[in-house]
Amino acid sequence: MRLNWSSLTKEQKQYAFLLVVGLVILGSLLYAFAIIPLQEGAERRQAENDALREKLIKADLALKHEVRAKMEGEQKRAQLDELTNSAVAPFGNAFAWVTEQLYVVAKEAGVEMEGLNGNSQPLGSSGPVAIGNRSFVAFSAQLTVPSSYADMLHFLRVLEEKNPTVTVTSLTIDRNEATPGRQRVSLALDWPTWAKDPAASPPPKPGKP
Amino acid sequence: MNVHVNLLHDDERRYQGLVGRKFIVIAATSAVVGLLAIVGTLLGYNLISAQQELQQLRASWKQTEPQYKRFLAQQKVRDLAAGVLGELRGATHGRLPMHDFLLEVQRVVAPFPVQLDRITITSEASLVQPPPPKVAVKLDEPKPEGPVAPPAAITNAPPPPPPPPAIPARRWRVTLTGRVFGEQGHSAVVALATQLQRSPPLAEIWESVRLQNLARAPGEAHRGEQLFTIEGLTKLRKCE
Repeated sequence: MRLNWSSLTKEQKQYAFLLVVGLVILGSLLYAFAIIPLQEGAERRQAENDALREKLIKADLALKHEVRAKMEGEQKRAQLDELTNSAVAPFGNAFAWVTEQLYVVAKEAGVEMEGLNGNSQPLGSSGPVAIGNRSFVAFSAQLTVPSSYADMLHFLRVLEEKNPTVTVTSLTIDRNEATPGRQRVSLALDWPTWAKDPAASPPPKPGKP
Repeated sequence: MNVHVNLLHDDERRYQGLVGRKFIVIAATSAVVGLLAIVGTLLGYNLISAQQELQQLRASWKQTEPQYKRFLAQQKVRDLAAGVLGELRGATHGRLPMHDFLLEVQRVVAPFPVQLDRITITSEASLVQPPPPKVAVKLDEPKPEGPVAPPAAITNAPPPPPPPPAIPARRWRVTLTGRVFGEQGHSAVVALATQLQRSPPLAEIWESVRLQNLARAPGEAHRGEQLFTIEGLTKLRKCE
């Protein structure tokens, strides 16, 4: 089949040109308004599918460990409840709680406390505000315990064993010439107490679910 | 002489090829339309398949999502509890176990002919900034040659992560003031300071132990006595 362009009449050439232009326009319109939207729609759905599939795989994997995670969570919460109930001064009532703790310790150690002061200034002016990074501030208590060195050691042992979070921030032992074997011992202690009311905000201290 | 007479007008000339021109026009148009139709059909099929798959996945996700959200909530509570527990354990880790410490001091001091008049222990609180997290560097990445690379603000490099929160920490200053008896008292005090510094459980606690002062006690009543001051500084103990 040979088509000789030169043998075509002028009118035929115009028709041929119009045909080519028409085909190009038709092709472009179909491409722009049918092919591209179809392709984009398919790609968009495919991307959505991939993302959703990935989420499902991740969720399935996580849910396989759900029982273990739940147990771990309950264990951690129980540990936290136990520790916060026994070793953290309650919010807003720290001094009363600390006083009670110290009298129990002193009674068990067989020593007598002479003076006890407390303040809710977080670690005074010399130190950082928080114990740990966020949840606690220090409640400071100062006390005087006239006792022998051995009794004072016993008092400290009971205090530190019963209160794993208490910190002795300062201690002075003065030999007393008038009462040999019985020193004047001054202590300053820091107890962690909640920085914010745990009941007013969601955890740190988790409540009932 | 041969004369060629063309009696056909140009409009009357007929094309003599295998297929007609009309056929060529129809075939070209059909080919273009057909090709686009095939591509369109394939894409349409893809779109419908993707749509169906999406519906299935959405249905699955609708079933899984509540359970997964519950799981994530549990995990969040667990992580918060672990964080708070970590803070409290940090407080325990950051304290100087005073009973054990004083017991050790007593054990070390006992054999020496000294009398302690005063023990003062004070703590100094501070905040320690932990080092920033290390950014992974690809070792096989070629180093840029020539001029120095522009800073991150100019390039599109991600900003550095925020520094981790500072960790509360304490160190304790321990001052032992006392008196020593006898002519060789100074040797005993020096030996005591050395023993305090080197005695195994205490050695790990100290950053330094120094004999600060050694002088004769004033007054006739205290003849032969020397007053001394030993000062020790513990290592920084972080609440972490």
